[in-house]
Amino acid sequence: MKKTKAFVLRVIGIFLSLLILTASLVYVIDPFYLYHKPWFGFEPYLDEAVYQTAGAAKNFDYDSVILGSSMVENFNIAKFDELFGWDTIKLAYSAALMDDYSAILSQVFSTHQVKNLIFPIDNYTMIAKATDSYVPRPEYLYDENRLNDVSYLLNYDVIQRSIQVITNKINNTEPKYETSYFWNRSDFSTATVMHSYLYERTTTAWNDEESDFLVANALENVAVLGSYIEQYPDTKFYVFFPPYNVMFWDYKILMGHKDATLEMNQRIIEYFLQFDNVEIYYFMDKEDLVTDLDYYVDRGHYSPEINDYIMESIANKKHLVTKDNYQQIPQKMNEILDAYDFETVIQLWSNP
Amino acid sequence: MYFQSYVFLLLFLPVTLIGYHVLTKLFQKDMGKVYLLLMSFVFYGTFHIAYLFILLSSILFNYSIYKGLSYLHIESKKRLLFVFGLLVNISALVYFKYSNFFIDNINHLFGFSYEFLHILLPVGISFYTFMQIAFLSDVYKKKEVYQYGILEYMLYCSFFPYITSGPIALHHEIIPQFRKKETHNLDWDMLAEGIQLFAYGLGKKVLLADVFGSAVSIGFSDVWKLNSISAFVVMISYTFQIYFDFSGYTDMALGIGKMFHIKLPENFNQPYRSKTIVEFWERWHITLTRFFTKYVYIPLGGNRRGSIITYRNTAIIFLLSGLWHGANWTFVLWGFLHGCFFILTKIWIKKINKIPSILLWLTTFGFLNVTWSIFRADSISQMFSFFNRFRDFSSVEVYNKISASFGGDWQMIAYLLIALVFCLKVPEMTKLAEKKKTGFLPSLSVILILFLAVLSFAKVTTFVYFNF
Repeated sequence: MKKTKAFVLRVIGIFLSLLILTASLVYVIDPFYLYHKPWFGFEPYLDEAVYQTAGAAKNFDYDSVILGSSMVENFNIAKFDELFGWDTIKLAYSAALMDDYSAILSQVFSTHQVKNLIFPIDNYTMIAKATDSYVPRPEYLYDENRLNDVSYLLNYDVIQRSIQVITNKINNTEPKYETSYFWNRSDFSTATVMHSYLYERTTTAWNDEESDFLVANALENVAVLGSYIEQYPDTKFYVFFPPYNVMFWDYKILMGHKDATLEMNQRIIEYFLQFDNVEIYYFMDKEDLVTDLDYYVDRGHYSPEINDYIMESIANKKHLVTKDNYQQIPQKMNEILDAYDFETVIQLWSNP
Repeated sequence: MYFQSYVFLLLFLPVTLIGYHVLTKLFQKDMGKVYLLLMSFVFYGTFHIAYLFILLSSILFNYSIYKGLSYLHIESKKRLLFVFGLLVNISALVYFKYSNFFIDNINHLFGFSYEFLHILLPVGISFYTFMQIAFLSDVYKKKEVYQYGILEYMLYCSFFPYITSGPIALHHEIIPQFRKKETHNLDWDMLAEGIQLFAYGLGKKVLLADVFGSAVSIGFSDVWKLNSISAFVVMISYTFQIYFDFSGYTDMALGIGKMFHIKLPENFNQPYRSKTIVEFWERWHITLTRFFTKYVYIPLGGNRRGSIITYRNTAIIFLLSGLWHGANWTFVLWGFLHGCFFILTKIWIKKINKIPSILLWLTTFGFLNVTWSIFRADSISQMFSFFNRFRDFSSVEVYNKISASFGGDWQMIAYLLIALVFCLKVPEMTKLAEKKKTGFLPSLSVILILFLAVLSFAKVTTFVYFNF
C-alpha cells in the first residue's frame, strides 16, 4: 500500500478509536449524571451545580427535593430523611437565578413524582429578572438533543473528572454523597462578617437607589414557581425566607431599599398564601438569630446549625406564616431593626 | 461553524470530503463542484442565513459586471462600468463594516446622538469583496480573456476553507485548479499532506493561541490590576496569540484545500524572524500585502513617480490596512505607526543594513509587540491605561489570574519560551507538511494533536461565586 494512504488510514483509524474509547469511558462513569446514576457502586457526589444539577435531577432516585441557592447548601439530607421520612435530594445551585431554577424544575417534574419541595425565597433571586441566569448554562447537559452531547463525551475536563472518580474509588477516598455542597469551614463569627461587610460599607458610594422594580421582579419570579405549584397540586411546596442577619438590613437601609424589600416580601407572601399546597416560613424576624453575627460569615450566609434550625422549624410548623399573622411581619421587622444598635456595633468593628 | 468545532471536524468535513470524492468518481466532475458549492453555502450559512444572501448578491453582482466588461468594447463605457462595480463593492464594505464607526465619530465630533444602526457584519465580507475587486481589475485591464462559468466563479468566491478569513486567493490561482482533470482524482499524497497541515494548524490554534488568548483576555479586562511584569506578559502573549491564531487558521485552510486537491496561496513565512518592518510585511499576511500592492499601491503609481509619491502611496496602504482590520481608531493608529516605521526604514535602509542583526531583530520585535497591544486594545483610552501599567513596579509577581491561565508560573515561562523558539526556529507548517513524512512520529504527533484539540473544544468552568 502506498505510504501516504497507509498514513491517512492509520491516523483516521486511531483517532476515531481514541474518540470512541474516550466517549465510552465518559458514558460509563458519567460524572455529571447526564445518562444514569452511578454504576458499579461508585458513590454519587455533587459539587459542580451548573454542570451536575440537571443530570442529578433527571436520573437520581428521590421523592422530595431541596432546591435552592447557597441558602440550602448546608442542609443535611440524611437528617431530613430521618425527621420527615422522605427520600430527599439536595439540588443546591449556588447563586442560581430563576431561569436556572426553571431549567431544573422542568427536569425534576418531567422525570419524578415529587411529594415535597423546599425552596428558599432568596432576596438575591427575587430582585433579579425572572429570565436571568447566573451564568450561561451548558445547554448540552440540559436539552434533549443527543447530538450536542459530544461536548460532554469528548471533553478534556470531563475525562479528567471521570479518571478522578475512578482513582477515588481505587484509593477509597470517595467523598460521601450526604456531604455534597456541605461547607468545610469553621470561621462563622462576628469578626468574619464585619470585616467583609465593613470593607464594602466604607468603599461604596451609597445613594438612594431606584426600588420600583423590586415588587415587579419578585412577582415574575414567584410566578415561575407558581406555575409548578398550580400544575402539581399533590406536591407540597415549602418556601422559606432565609434568616439574613441585621447587616443585610443595614445594607438595604443604606441603599434606600429597606421599606421596598419589606413590601416585596409581603407581596410574595400574599402570592403564596393563595395556594393550599404551599407552606410559607419566615425566619428573618427570629431576633436572637439575626442579631447574633457569630452564626454567619457575611450578611446572608449562615452556619449549618441554622439549616438544622430551619429544618426542625418546618417539621414543627414553627415560624409558619398564615393569613392571620402575615400582616404583622413588617412591624416586627422594624421593631427588631429599631432596637438594634447598629451604630455601636459598626463603630466597635471599625476601630478594632 | 468554525474549523475548531466538533460539528466541523466530526461531521461537516468528513461528509463534505467523502461526498466530494465519491461524487467526482461516480459522476462527472461538475457534480463534485456543485456539491462543494452547496456545502460551502451550508458552511457559510451556519453563521447567519442573511450572510448567505449578501454573499450571493455580491457574487451575482460582480459576475454581471464581469460579463458586462467582457461584452463591452468601448473603453470609456468599460471604464464607467468598472468604476461603478468598484464603487458598489467598496460602498457595501463601508456600509457593513464602518457605518457605526462613522456615526460614533460624528456623534463625538459634533455632539450629535444618532443611534447606531443594527447592522450585522457578514463574516468574511472583506475577503470575498477584495477577491472580487481584484478579479474585476484584472478583467478591466484585460490581461487575459477569462472564460469563467458561473458555477466555477461562485465556487471560487465561496469556497469554504477561505471564505471567512482568507487567504485572499486570486481567481487565476484557483479557478484553473477547479478545471484540472487531476484535481478530481483522490490523491493520497495531497490528502496526507492536508491532514497533517490541518492538524498542525488546529494545534496552533487550540493548544497555543487559545492558551495565550485566555491570558490576554484576563489582562485586558483587568487592566488596572496589572503591574509592569504582568503587562509585559500580556503584551508578548498577544503577539504570540495573534500569530498562532491567524497562521493556525491559515494552515487549517490550506490543509483543507489540499484534501480537495486545491493548493491555496501561503499567508505566513516566519514573520517574527524579521529584522526590519519591511521584511515583516513580506512575511505576515502575505496575500493581503499582495492585494494592496497589486491593486492599490501600483495603480496609485507605486514607486515609479519619485520618492515623495512612493511614501504617500505607502502611507495610504498602511492607513487602509489599519482600517481594514476593524472600525476603531486603535487600528488606524496601528496602521499609522507601521506606515511611519516602514517609510523610515525605507529611507534609512542603507544605514540600517549596517546595524547588527540581533539589534535589528530586537527593535523590530519590540515594535511589533507594542503595536500589537495597540491593535488589541478596545479603545485608545484603554491602550493608554494598558501602557501606563508598565510603570507599576509595585511588585515583581505576575497577576495570579494570568499565571493561573497557563497553569502556573513555570508553565507560563515554558509556554512563552516554547512559543518564542517556535516562532524563530520552526519552519512554517506548510514546509513541514510538504515533506509528507508518514512514519511513526508524524503519525503519532498528528493523532495526538487532533485528539487533544478535539477534547479542548468544550470546557468545564468552575464558577466561583463566593470567594470565601
